[in-house]
Amino acid sequence: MIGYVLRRLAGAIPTIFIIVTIAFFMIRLAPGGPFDLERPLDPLIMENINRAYNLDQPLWRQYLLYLGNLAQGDLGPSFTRRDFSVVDLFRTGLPVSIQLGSMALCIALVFGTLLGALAALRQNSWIDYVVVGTATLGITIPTFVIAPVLSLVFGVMMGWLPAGGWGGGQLRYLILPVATLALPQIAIIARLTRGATIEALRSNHVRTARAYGLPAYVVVGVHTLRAAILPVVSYLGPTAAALLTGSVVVETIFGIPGIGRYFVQGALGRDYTLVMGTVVVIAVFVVLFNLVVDILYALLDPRVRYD
Amino acid sequence: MTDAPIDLAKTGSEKPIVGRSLWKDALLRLRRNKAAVASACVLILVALAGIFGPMISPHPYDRVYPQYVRAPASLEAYPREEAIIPAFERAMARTRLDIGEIDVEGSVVRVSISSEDPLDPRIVRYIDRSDLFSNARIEDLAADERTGVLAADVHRVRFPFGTDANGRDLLARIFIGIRVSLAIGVLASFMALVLGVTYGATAGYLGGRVDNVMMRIVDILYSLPFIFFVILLVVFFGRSFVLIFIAIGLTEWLDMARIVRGQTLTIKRQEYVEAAQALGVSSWGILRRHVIPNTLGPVIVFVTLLVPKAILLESLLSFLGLGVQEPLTSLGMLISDGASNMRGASWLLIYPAVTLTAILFALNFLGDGLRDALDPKDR
Repeated sequence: MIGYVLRRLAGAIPTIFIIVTIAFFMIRLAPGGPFDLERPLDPLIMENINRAYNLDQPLWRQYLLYLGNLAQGDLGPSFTRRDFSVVDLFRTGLPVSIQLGSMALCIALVFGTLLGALAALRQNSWIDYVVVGTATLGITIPTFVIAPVLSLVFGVMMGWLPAGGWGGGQLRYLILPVATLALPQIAIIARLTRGATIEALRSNHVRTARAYGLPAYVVVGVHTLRAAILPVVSYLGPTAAALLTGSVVVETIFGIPGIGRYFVQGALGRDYTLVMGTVVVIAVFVVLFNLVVDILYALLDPRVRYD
Repeated sequence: MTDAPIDLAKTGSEKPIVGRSLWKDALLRLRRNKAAVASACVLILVALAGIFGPMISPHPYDRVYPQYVRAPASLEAYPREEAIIPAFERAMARTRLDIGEIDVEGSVVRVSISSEDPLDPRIVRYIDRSDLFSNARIEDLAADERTGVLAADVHRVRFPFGTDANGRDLLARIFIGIRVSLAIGVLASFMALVLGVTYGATAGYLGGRVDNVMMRIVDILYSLPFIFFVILLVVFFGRSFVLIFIAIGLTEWLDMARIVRGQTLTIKRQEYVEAAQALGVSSWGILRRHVIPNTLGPVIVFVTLLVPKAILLESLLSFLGLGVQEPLTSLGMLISDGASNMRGASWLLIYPAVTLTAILFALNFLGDGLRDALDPKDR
């Protein structure tokens, strides 16, 4: 198992390398630069700035420099936020995004599997219809509608919760953004769990467990749920990576200082290092969580073995 | 979603009933699905609103009414009765004339005016400049031209959905937003359809090494975080309507290519394809005549689910400020504006949000209904 993990981690390096390469040349191909202003700077100053950021060197040289720094964990200075390095920005922003994302993930996992399993066990009852109907609703309504509507209803009209802001991470400030992140995921997970549970209830090993006379809670809680959770686990890999690296919509609407906004802001401001840094961080998260999913798979499904 | 291949030839021949093609059969099944029929009706209404709404709307979508900024949604006409006299007074103050009592009679405002010097007929322009009044004129001008009555029509306008932060009619903007969003959704899906079907059918039909290489390329593209690449594309090449739908189309064709390839692999082993090959029909001819038409069932289902995806992607881009350019607008952009104005102007958020949600819902239900109708094995 450890050998497998190590091999997978080694295999992730070329993947990240390819992504970094593509992203590097794509952002450099974009017209405009980070220091283009309405009123052009004095050519002499421009030259100095370019030299300071190594922008005067040929592109391949800059690429090699970037790769060299990246290998040492240095993501470079931010071009648009002066005096901040990209690592500084992530050091303050990433914990915020991870806090929000992990809360949303836990809530989505608990409620999603519970509701999905409940709907499957009572298939074609009113519980089932309510769950399936609500799940369709949750999947269809986009985040950028849910977020402002929640903020409007609970923040502005009712005044129960702050309509936005971070407030140093107090719980009151977290509820609405976490709810926005969690609701669509609850819907998707509930739907996945429901489908998989219905299938698992019909499978041979569950029938055998029933035939042995095992109590219902063992049949459902152990044998069915273990099989039913598999599609949820494989869905969770990329989803967890996306949730933990922050959502640009939620962070923009609720004014949260996470890292979700950095990609769009960086791309718009041609902040090359910030965009590259975001790409690297997201790629690392995706690779890591895909690995976690594969390991969980091996633990949950005895048919899967990695040697 | 629709991985289960539909064996079109079989579903057609198994039915002993005469004269019912697969499509008629599917249509019948679809009509029995109430949610799908209701969704289709909603979609037709919305599409009609998008096509004809901007033409019949009394306000152009980019007309600014500076005096009706953030006017709340209401069925009553503006200006309100109690607002007429103050507004008229304000407009009259610019003329620097001595004015008498202001009298409102139906939709005409009258006031007696007097001045030291002869009245200049050009003063009516001060009144006409306001959004509230039109057709200002001087009546009953005295012989010495120093006193008279100034009359103006009250210009009544209706904003059933209110106006936005710039004083533009929200209803007209929603109409144009529907048009832009639907157009981008449909065009992007069409592009994904053409690209995906051609690519997938070619890969599946040619098979072997060509298939391998082509599908590896799809796999590689698949693993890239694509929403980011849409953003990059739009950031690089500017924010034009055409580019946005091309960017979305370019990111959405991969699933289509996979589905069509899978279908093609089963279809190419059918006897009729063999017969066509024996007759010496060219590969492209077989693809066009036999393979592609037979993949259409799952493809149609997938397209109905692709349209909401494309609309969602476009709205997300607009929401991030990367969508179409002002004053043109789309539903995502309206929602974004509404979100930043929701304190005190909640209608700016509610109406576009409801419209977008209704469209997405209808498309999803219609897609589900079509899948059930075209893929009876799935039920």
